[in-house]
Amino acid sequence: MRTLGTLKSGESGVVRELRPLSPSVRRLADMGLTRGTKVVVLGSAPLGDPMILSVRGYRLALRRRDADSVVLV
Amino acid sequence: MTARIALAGNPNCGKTTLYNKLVGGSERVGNYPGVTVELKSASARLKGGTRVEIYDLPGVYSLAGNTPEQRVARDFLIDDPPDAVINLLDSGCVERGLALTLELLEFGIPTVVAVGMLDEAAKSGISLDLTRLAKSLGVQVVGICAPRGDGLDELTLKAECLLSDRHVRRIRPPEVMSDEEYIASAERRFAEIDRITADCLRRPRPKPTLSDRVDRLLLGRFTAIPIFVMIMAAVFFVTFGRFGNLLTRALERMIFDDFAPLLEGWLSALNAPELLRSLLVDGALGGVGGVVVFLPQIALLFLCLGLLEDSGYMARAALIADRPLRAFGLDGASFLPLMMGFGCTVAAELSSRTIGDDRVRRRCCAVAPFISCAARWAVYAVFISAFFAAHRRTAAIAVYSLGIVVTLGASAVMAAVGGRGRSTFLLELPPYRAPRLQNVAKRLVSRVKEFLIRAGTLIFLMSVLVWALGRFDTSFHLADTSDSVLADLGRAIAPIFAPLGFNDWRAAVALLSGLVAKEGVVSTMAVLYAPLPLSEALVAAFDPASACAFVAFCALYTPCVSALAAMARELRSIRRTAAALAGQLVVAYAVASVVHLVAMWVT
Repeated sequence: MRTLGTLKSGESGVVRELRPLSPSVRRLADMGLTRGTKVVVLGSAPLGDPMILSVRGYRLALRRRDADSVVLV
Repeated sequence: MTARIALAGNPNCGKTTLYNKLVGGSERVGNYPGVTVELKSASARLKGGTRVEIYDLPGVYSLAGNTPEQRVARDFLIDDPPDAVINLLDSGCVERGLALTLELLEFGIPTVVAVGMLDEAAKSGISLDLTRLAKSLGVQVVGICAPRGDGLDELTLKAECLLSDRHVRRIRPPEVMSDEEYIASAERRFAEIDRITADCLRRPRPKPTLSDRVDRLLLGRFTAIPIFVMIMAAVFFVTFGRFGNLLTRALERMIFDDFAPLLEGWLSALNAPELLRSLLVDGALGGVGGVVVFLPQIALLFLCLGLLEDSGYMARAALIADRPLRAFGLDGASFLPLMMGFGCTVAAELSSRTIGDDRVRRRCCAVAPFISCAARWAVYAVFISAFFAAHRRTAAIAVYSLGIVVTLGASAVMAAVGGRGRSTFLLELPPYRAPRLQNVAKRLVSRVKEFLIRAGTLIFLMSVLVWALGRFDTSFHLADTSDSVLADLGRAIAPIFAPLGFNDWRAAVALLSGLVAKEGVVSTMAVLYAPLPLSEALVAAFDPASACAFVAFCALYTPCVSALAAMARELRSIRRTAAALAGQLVVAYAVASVVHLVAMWVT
C-alpha cells in the first residue's frame, strides 16, 4: 500500500482513498485530496517535514504523518 | 430594513481587497449580536442605489469543519441568513474554491460568484470559461479585478438583482456527520467539481512559477533557516532596536515633558482644587500615558508582521517553524500568534484563531501569555536600569528568553499530560505577492485599535482606582498613602512574597495592579515610592536577588484583564480559562522562587 507520505520530492501519484478515517482526515478532504486527485511532491521544509505538494493547481504543505492517511492508487 | 450581503471565499483569495473596494473606508469591526467572535461589516451604497450592509465572513475552505472561523461563518449563514452571498473564487485555484461554492449553494441563499485574479491566472496560462461555469453552477458569474476595480459595477448590479427576491428562508442546519459520511460528501462535491471544470477550465501542464523559484531560495535546504532567522531578527531589530526606542522616547517626552506641565498649568490657571489636579495629572495621565508610549513599538511589530503575512512569507515561516514547534506540542500555525505576543497578548489570542487543530489552538491560547508583551518591558526597563545597568543587553535577553522557554515548556507539559493525541497541520502556500498597503494598513489599524481601546478604558479606570485607593483610608477620609486602603491590601498579601525575597506592601500593591494591566506595576510603584525617584527607591527596597525574582514574576503572571478576557473568549470555556489563570500564577510563583534561589546563590 503506497501512501502519499512515502513519496519523495519530484514524485507524483493519484489518490485512491483516505484511510484510516478520523476527524483529522476531514481536513484533508476539505483541501481537495479526494479520490482520483493527482498530487505532485514539490519538496519539503528544510528539516524534511512538512512536505510541499502541488494539488488541484495550488501549493499545499502537510506533515508526512498526515500524508500517510492518503492512500495512493 | 437594510438588505444584507455576505462576502464568502477561501482564505487568501483576495476577499479583503474586494471588501475594501466595496465598502470604501466605512468599515467598522464590532461584536456581531449573538456571536461572540467579531464579524466585520460595513454599509455601502451599491451601483443601483440600494443601501446594503456587507458582511465579511472569515476566509474558510469549507463550512462543515470545526475551526472558530468555520463556526462563525456557518452560524452566521444559518442563524441569521443574509439576503444574498457574493462568493469570491480565485481563478488560480478554482477547484478548491468551488468546493465552498457548492456548499454555499446547498444552503439555498441567493448567490453570485465573482472570479478574481483572472489576469494573474491568464499569465500562468489558465483559461476559465465564465459563461460555461455559470451554466453548470446555475448562478451568475462575474469576472473581476478587485485592485483595479474592474467588474465591480457588474458584480454589485447582479447582487442587487438577487435582493429583489427577499422572502424568509429557513435553512436546515447541517446534520452531524460521521467521518465516513463527511468524506463521502467531500468526495461527491469534488467529483461534481471535476465534471464542472472539465467543461470550462483549461490549465497548462504545471511548470515552476516565479513563486516556486523564490521558494527554492527561501525554502532551500541550506538557505531557508538562515534567511528565516535573519528576517525575524530584522523584525525585532526594527521594533525593539534603536528605531523603535527612539519613537517611544519621543512620545514619552511629548506626554510627560511637554503635555503634563501644560495640563498642570491649565488646571492651576482654572484654580482647580489640588485633589482634582493630582487625579488628572498623576492618576489619569500618568496611567494612560505610561501605556500609550508603547504604541509605536507595538504598531511597528504588527506592521512588520502584517507585511510578511501579506507578502506570503508568513506561510513559509509557519512551514519552517512547524517541525521545531511540534516538539513542544504546538505547530507551524502557532508561530504568528506567538510572534504577535511580543507586541500584545490580546492580539496573540485573537490571531490564534487561524490554528486549524483544536487542541493545538487551545494550548497556544493558554501559553501565549508567557511571551513577554511590550507592556512588560516597562517593568524590565526600570529594574534593569536600577540593578543591572552595566549588563543591559544580557539582562533583557535573559528575561525575554525566560518567557520563551516557559511558553514552550508549559505547552510541552500540557501536551504530555493531556495525551499528545494526533494533531494535524495543513497549510496553503499562497504565491508571493507585493504586499497591498491598504490591506496591511487596515489590519494594522484594527490590531492597534484593540490595544488603544484597552488603554483608554480599563487602564484609565485602573489608574484612577489605584490613585483613589492610595489617597483614602477605610473610613473614606483623605489619608497618607501609607495609611490608605491600598496599603492595607498590600500589607495583607505581602507575606506571600516573602519566599521571593520581597515582603514589601508597595511591591505587593504594584503586583495587584499589574493584574489589571502590566504597565500599572511601574506607574503604581512610582506613585507609592514618591517622592523618591523610582530607581533609588527600588535599590533601597530590593536586593539584586529579589529584584530578579520580582522581574521573573512580572514576566510570567497573568498579563492583564484584557488578555484574560481574550483568552476566555478563544478558549470558550470558564473551566479552561480558570485553569490557565491558576497555571500562570503557580508557574510565575514557582519560577520566581527558583530565580530568587539561583540569584542568591550567584550573588
